[in-house]
Amino acid sequence: MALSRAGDVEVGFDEKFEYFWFRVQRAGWAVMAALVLLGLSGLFGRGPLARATAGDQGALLRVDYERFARFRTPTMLAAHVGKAAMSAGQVSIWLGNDLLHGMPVERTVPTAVSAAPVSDGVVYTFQVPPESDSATVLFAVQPGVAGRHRGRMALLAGPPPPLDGASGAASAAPPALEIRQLIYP
Amino acid sequence: MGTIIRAAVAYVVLLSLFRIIGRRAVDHMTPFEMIVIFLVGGMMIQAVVSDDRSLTNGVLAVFTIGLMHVTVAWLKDRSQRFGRVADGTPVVVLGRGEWHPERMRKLRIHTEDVLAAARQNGLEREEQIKYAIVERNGAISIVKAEDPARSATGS
Repeated sequence: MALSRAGDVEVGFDEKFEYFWFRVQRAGWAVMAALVLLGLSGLFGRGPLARATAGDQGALLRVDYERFARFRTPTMLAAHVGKAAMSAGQVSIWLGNDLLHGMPVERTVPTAVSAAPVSDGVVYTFQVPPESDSATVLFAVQPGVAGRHRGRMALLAGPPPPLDGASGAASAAPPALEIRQLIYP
Repeated sequence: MGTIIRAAVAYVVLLSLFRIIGRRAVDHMTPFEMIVIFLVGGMMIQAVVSDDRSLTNGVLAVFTIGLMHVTVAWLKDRSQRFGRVADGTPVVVLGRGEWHPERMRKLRIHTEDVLAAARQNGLEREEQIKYAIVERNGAISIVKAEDPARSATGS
């Protein structure tokens, strides 16, 4: 099969294609630059655009989280709790199974006094200083599935369920906050 | 399954990346290019393997990459157009005494690179070069002039 010639050397040089490919390269560089800029902005997680809040300022429960997270990459759910939610120096937060499924809690800060499974989720109980006006609890989670992810979190009304798991459905104080995330692969 | 998909995607991404970056990153391995090669490879390995460090996972990833490689080679064999997209074509940057600066600029090849390739072929001067061709893999091939004076005039 004969290749195209350049002068008297048979080299297969396709000038038209190479000029076209250079334009493709430049477009590729522009796409790369755009992706890096979007990455810096947090569109792919860990930046300003990724920050989201569920719940209103001043509400008993407000959750700061990343609306864009990444597969198998740790992320944080920061639950801010108001004084009225504290009872006898403790606060209980319910995480629904829809949240925990595909995004298990790796650890909490501070360490939970108890983590009691209930039929529709897990109730984490934390010790808080009685004089505190508010408290913040961090849930370190790690998404195990990619795609859209929705889950609920709420304050637990009343005392936390016993550790033997004998209670039925959690009596979560409505309304539960919805955490909506997009997990990148 | 995730490892196989990630390995396949990583292969396509890297192939596209190096075609978009340009040939220079593939050959002429100066420290400048080595940084790109090693960093990119290292980062992609982590993304493919993730936190599964089993032999099974490693073998699946490697076999997927191998299969992708064979598939791309087969496609290049079947389709000249695909071959051009995957590899590009050789580009003549010096022919019969005439430099093509526009082509060199697009390839980010400099006169010094061509002369270095010439020296590797035992040549000492530009007039001894009949053709300098940047190959698909980024290497520069030198066709020696039989007679330096004749190659410059084209006769």
